Amino acid sequence: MAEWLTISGVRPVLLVLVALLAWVVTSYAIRNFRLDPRRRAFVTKLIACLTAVFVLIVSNNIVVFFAAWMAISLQLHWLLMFYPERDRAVLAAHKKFILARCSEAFLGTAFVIMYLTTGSLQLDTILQQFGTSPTGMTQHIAALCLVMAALIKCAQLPLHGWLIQVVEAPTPVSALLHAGIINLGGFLLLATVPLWSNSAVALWLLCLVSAASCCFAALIMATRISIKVRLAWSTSAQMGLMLLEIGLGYYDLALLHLVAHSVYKAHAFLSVSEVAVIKQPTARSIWRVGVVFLAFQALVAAACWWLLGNPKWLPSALLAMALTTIWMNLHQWPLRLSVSALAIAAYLILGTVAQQVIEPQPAFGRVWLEPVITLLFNLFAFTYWLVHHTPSHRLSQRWFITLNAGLYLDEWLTRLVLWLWPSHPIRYYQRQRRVRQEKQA
Amino acid sequence: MSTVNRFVSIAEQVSHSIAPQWPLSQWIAVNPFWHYRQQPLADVSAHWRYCAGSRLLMSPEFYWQQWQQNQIDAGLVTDHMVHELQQRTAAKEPLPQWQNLSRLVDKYQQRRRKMRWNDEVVLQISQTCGLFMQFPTRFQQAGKDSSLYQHWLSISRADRGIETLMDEAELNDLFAKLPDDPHQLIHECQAHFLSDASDYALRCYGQALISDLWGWAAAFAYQDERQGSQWVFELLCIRLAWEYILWQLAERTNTAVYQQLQQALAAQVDNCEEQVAHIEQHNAVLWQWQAAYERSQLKALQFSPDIDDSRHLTSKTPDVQAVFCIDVRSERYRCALEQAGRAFGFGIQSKGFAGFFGVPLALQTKERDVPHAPGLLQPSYYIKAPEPKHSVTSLLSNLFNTPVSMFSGVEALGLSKLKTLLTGIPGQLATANGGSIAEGTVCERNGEASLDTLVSLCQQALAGMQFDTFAQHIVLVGHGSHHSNNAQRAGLNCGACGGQTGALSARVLTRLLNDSAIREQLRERGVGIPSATRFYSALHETVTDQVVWLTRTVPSEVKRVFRAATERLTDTGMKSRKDRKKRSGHWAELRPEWGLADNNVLFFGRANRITSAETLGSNFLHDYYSERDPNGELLTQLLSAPGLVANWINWQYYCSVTDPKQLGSGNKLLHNRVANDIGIFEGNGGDLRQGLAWQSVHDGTDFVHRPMRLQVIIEADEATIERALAGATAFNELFQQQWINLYRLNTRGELCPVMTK
Repeated sequence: MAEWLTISGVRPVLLVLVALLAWVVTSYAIRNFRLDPRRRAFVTKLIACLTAVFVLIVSNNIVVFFAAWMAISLQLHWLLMFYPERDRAVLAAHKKFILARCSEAFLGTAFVIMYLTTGSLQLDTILQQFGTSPTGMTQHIAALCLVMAALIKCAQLPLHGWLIQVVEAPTPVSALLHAGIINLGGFLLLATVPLWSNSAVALWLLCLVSAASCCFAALIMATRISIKVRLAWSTSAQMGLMLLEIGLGYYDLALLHLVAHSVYKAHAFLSVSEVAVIKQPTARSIWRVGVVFLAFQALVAAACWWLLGNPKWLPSALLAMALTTIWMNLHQWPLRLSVSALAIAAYLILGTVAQQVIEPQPAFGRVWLEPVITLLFNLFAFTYWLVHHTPSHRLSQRWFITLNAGLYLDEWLTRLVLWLWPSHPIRYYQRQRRVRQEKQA
Repeated sequence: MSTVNRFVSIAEQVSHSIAPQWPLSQWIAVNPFWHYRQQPLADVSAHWRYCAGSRLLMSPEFYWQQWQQNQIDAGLVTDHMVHELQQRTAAKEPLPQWQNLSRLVDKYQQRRRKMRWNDEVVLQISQTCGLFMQFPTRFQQAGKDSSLYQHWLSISRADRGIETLMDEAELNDLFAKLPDDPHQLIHECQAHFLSDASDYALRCYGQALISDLWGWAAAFAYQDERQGSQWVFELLCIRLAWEYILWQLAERTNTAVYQQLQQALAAQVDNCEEQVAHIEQHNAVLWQWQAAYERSQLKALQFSPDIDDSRHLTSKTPDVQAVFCIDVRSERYRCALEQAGRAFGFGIQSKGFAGFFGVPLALQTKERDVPHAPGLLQPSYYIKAPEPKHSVTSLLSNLFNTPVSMFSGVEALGLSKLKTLLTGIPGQLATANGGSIAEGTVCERNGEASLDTLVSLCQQALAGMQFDTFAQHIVLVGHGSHHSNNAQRAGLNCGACGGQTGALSARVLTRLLNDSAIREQLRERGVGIPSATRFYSALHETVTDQVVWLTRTVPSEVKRVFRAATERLTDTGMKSRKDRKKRSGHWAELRPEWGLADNNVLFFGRANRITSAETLGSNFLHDYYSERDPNGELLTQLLSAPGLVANWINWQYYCSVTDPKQLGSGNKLLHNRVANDIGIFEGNGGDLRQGLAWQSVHDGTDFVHRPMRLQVIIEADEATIERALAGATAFNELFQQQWINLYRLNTRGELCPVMTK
């Protein structure tokens, strides 16, 4: 029995997190569906989905792991199809259905390769053997498959459209999806580190795709008009950062990110109807913001180098962005200093705690990866300031419209999905329901 | 050229006839057909049914069911009506409806494996409107002169998404060739495909087009009314531009479809008048059923004969007078309060008056004014709100919401949301006590209000509340709803206070009326308030029926009676009290209370003449004593103010029940706020929604609101009513065209229908 289960690595933390989310979302849903004739059906499916998540986290057998992975997606499909009369909900669910099968195909391939190479179905045995074996072609393929499965699961560009469009489902589903299920891509990678971390191809793929997704999704988020869609784009961006941190070896930060983001996003979705105004940025000189940002970045990186012996390019850049925002939005010095100190202190303490759970691995032999990505993030920050702080600039207008259109990435996928699975499937469901009703009668 | 002007002026008329929708933070009830009140209801209903598919009647099955369940009096029904209704329920005849070109294209073109046009057009326009409202610094640089049409045009020309999505490369070219001026566009459209259309057909077409984006049109109508812009008209032009594009697209790429389009459009243009007439004739019998249904339901409402004794009783000065809002939720509380008073041997007189207590206030903040007055009234007094402090939570949300700061922000501070995630957002109730707002100076537009003005204000308010004597304790009771996480929460607050709670208005008027200088002046003007009389303010919380005291120094015996009243209402079992507490405190609750559901009567008269207990909670009660209003002037005012507000509320509920798809705001589980507080989408997009959500009118098994037009009952003689009607123009229009029913309560306690001319 013992070999079927495992609670090694990040699993205990995730189990606590999922238990917490399960309790919050389920009790929310029970209240939310008070007087709704379909409450029982909804809550049952919700719990089934959460059970599959628990099984996935603790399973040590790759067959069980795969089955749970698939079960989650199938239960979720039912939840996304909760209102089959809504055309757009159906379209989004179909898109998700097709992509989920792709993700499973990649995961399945990776698992089959693992089994063939090691002859074991136990995850811990496989990890041990892979960690010691030299990197060959099969290993590269397995690593790529794992990375692809995680990227698709985490709704990375250009396969992100479904995540945005499934806000057609009831609020608790969105909370469950955005705070829980979507993190499973990150969990997959964190649980199988030795399998993919030796493959440079897989690493570059992971880091570049997730970095690009992260930057673009964040930029697109700022051009959105409705609260749920904004939150959905933000999830895509945050997942990008989590995957990127995993790719760069900051496993501790990735874990911290996973937990903190889940809590934040569950809260954001569940309180989505509370009227609160998101302030639009005021027009500002981009030069001033830029100088402040670069100064912060240099300062933080230097501090890291001096204290930790490593400049930690990416976390330094991100922290500098947050500090710049605090600096530019607060005008009294005591407030600026206290809020900045609070943010830095919280970041350091939580980071240290996360390190106790999982050790970061410095990215050996990939010296260029992190600086390149940090440069990308610098470009991203300047683009944001250009677009949003100088609204009347010609370039800003053009960029805004392109970003608002989501870089035209999803349109192709929608066309493909419609072609594969013709639209107006609604008629099919209506027919089914009619048949059921007739049977009952 | 004259023909061009014809279509332009029709389009303008159609756009000006859209009723406004207030933003969420001030979301109050509106009658969506307010601007059609000068036309007979049956006409308007048939017309909108044809143009937009709107339903202003329940289905034949509904009436049949009510008839079967004896909910409709046999005396009001003729054999002919039964026969016709039976036919309607047996054979469902689909009623004709105007089809816009986007729908016709979807009908004729095989797009099985492609996106369909109508949805996509609505979505595209809706998103563009959202951008316009969400990013004013970017898209509304010219303020009210910013052109919505230009905005849409420049976005559509730059955007390549829709061409890709719909797989139509020609679209780029068509967008480029669209005229830059909306008037020019109308001219071209008319020349191109509407040259033979009659005025009537053009109007149908305009209404059909705007109904696709009714929610946005209503939101823009609100803006237009306030700043004099032309955005609803421009929205209509945008919708028309899409029709023009689809027409040209068919012309260029698909001859077969183009020919079908031509034929279908020509047929519609020729037949629309007959079709509307057909619908009207078809629905005539249903309107008879509707009237019979309303009359039958009204029978439950019983009045006592007017005995002189009762007048003597009330003329004895009571110990406590309590003024409530006319809101239907007050009725139940007032009844319980009077019962509690009797049990304590305490003379209690309750009164009904609009919940802003006659003080048209606005709260001035740095960004904007928040009116605490009915939607039809412009606030004329202002109170400055204290400077908002930078709270930690607003800082945090700022940190989480900008793309550059959200990454580290979430990692460092995301866990700070853990506590709220576990406990939920607690319910809220604005009591206007922050920074002692209500103590602030009352100002007019141009500076501080003079003592004289304030005295006149108090005098008017007191006259409106019709005080004949003043008790020792007078309580002004506003109301508000304690709950959280509801985009439409303003709808459950006080409509007469612009969707805010009644706290500020009650506090301010209390303060003024307790002021010795003002009392002195009032006495000089002949309003002698005894010096022993004190005014207090309170807030009736409508989920739990508790009363929150806003004045600190309330005598304990007064408090005790109110507490007893609350207990009377909530002590129907421990469960009921616990249930209410939960509903008001749980952030996932979608039905904290039923609000104004099942409102159907507005009564001007002595509230204590109502004897039926089962009709509690359906009536708006406004105090009116006709013997003190010989000229009917006061009644005129009442019909023109609370009368119209009640009509707006009633029609909001009515439409949300008869047509939840188009005139209701859908499923709350899918609500998605747009552009901060301009409105909500249901799910991912489509049009902005208006009206009440499904959960606000339906309890999972049945509607909790009976679809009845407002039944206005006046306790006065015929001559007074006649005179008042002549003065209250808008109300009279509603009455003459049957948007409301009017009854006179006679001294025997019977309802006599007032006849339309």
